[in-house]
Amino acid sequence: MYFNSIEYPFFLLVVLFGFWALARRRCARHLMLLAASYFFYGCWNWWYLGLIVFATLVHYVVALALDGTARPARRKVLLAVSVATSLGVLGFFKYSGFFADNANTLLGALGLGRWVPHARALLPVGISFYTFQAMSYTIEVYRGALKARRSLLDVALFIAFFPQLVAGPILRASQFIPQLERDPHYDEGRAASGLFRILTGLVKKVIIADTLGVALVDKVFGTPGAASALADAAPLQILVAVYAYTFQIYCDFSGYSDIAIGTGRLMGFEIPENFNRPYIAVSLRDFWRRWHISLSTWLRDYLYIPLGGSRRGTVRTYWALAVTMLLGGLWHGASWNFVVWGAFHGLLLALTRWWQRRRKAAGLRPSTKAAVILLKRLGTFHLVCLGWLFFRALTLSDAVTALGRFGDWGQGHVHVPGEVTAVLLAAMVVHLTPTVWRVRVGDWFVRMPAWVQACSVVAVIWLASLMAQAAAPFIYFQF
Amino acid sequence: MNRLRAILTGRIGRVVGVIVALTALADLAVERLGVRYCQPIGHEPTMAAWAYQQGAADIDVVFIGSSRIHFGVVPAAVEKAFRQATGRDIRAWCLGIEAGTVMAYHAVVRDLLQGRGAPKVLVVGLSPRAVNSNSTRNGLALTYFGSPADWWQECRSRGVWATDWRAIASGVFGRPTCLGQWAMASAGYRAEQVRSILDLRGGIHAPLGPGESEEDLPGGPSREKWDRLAAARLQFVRDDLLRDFVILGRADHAFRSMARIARERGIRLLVVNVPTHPTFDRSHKAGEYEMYLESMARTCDELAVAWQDLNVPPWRSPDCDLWRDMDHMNRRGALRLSRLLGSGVLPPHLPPSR
Repeated sequence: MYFNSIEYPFFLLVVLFGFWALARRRCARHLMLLAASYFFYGCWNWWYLGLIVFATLVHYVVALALDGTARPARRKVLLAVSVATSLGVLGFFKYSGFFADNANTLLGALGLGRWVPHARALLPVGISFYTFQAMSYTIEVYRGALKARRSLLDVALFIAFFPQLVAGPILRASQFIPQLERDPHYDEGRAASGLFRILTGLVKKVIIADTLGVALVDKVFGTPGAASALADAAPLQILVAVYAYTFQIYCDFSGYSDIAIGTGRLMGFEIPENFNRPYIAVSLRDFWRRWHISLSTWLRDYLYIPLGGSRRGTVRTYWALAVTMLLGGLWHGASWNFVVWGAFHGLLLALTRWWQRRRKAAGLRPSTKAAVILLKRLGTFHLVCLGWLFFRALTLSDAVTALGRFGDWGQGHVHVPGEVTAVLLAAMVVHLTPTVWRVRVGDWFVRMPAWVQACSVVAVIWLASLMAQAAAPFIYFQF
Repeated sequence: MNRLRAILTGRIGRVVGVIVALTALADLAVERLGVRYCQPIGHEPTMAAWAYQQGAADIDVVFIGSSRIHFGVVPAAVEKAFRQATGRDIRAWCLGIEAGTVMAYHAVVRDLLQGRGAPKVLVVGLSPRAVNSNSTRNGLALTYFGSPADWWQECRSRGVWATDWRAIASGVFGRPTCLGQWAMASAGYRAEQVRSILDLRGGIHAPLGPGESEEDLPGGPSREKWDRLAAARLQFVRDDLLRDFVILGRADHAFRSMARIARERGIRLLVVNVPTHPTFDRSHKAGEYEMYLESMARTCDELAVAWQDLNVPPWRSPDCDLWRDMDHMNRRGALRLSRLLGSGVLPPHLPPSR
């Protein structure tokens, strides 16, 4: 079931009805939410629901065991068991094929035959998200930031909560579990705000992301079912396609987050923001504070800092950055494209860090001149776009081919459909609008009478139907 | 419960209520204005029906069926062959519906082929997939071609949790966009597409141009590629289109209703078994095929409707070069079949008027 499918509004209405009918009965309410969450995931594949249940049981048991012992060695072993189990499952389903293929390629090149078995398991939707989320629970208990929960129901609901189960934002247990322990209080303003976020997400996904994807990006970059046109496309066509993908992935992913946040808000839950206008970032460091915030902070807190962060010397800092971004790239998928993308960002982050340290050591402060800030933003934006080219290309060789085409500037025919131009420009303009304007629009929507809100919902549904025929999956579902 | 009552009668309840009311009003407006087929971008089968509604008049023969008909019939070629065989002119039209089943054909015949839109002869192209009452594609008929009365009837006959509730919900909430599409069409949006459909009279392939011959047209993929395609396609067909195959039920009901409507409107009905790919016998063919042939022949005999099996020579050719994929003819194949339809199949059903 996708957020933009016909089933979701009906599913959500039933869940909301049950949730508020059980507002004063915590156990029954959580049981209903958990059942709804399992149903939501099971609509995709009931068998793989077992993986979520398995992850829940492992982390529940380990967290209780962590609370029951103060011995550091034992606590480390328990944490290692839960992390290894989670990463083992993730590794098997997501990376075993990738490693097997590459190992066989290497063995074949060395004349040793191709004997590494390939599991060919179907990739469970959202496994990267719920695995990291479950790990954060145990890690926070280990660090003493949270007490282990006696209630298996609460832990299960934290891991499987349907609005963010398959594509984030990745929740922290210390942020979310306390919300489960409070009885919800219905607030019409908050509910209207949630509705507004859902509508915003739908517009981003169905009207912007899907239009850009279907009308241009898929045609240029190709899809698993259709070859790319990169070898013959004009450089300008590829450039526009890269810009289009830049906004497609942003609107697709942030649209999902908006719907998740809005859905949570309808039930009185606050899910943290996951994006903050990433394409106005003035540096790569700034970009990663604005893009997929829940993942970047997870990697910072649970990988980068334990590896030493910026406190164990310059070399260690760069090494920690490189490893974090490489693994961050690999988190997105089992493909050399994602490894290269992660390495690209890691390299640029290290360079950014080095440059900023040099300037600081020289007593230079960041410039406040508007022209300089504009240049920084444009430069950062285009570096990010370059990374997206590798991210989107079907293979590494496709990405290299695309880059090579820029040497034939002026060659080839450019065809950009009118709707792509219109939608892309609209997406850029909206992205540049100050946050305070968008907050004002949201506040205006909340204050409007119910019939105006209803007309807005209907208008979005009709506009989305005019521009899309089928519910296309969200890009980040594949992670 | 008081809290829930307060929520339901408060903002959320009002928002949901207004949404339901607006959608219902819009659905009724679509039916009243007769713009059901003016559906959103990209859905070609309804655009072909829309074009028929806009520009088709004095049509002698309509071909209706799935995409096999859409790709297999070239109306201009049918007309030319008929003229060469009989010396008379006719006007033909192709209403092939991608992923169509007999439920979709019934809805189109019932709601479109009436008055000036009613032809003299209706040729219905069938196959086992089109008459499977349990086909997953029956929902498409409800979504794109069904009327609100059809939706209500479906809910009543199968209970509140109708099997095709998703199709009905898609229709209910998606259909009102016809109003927007219609407003844009009135301003010329997609006019070129409608003109193109009118020029080809609903078909996909163009007739032969000056200097062109069928023999010079490109053929299909190699035999080796067909064998690879056949295995993959067979699995899909068996698991999806022919799953739980049974004709009795809503497919049978739709067919009989279509036959009755044709009879009442004075439309001569000819039901044909569409030709299949040369590899069909060793790839797709399964027990359902014999069951379907026997059942359709018996039903047509019972209803006094003409039935013709075109999946035999001379209509069915052993030449793989006439196909673009496992199910659809390429231009060469479509021109050949259209020629045979116009010269051999149609003349007995379109006698000269006295």
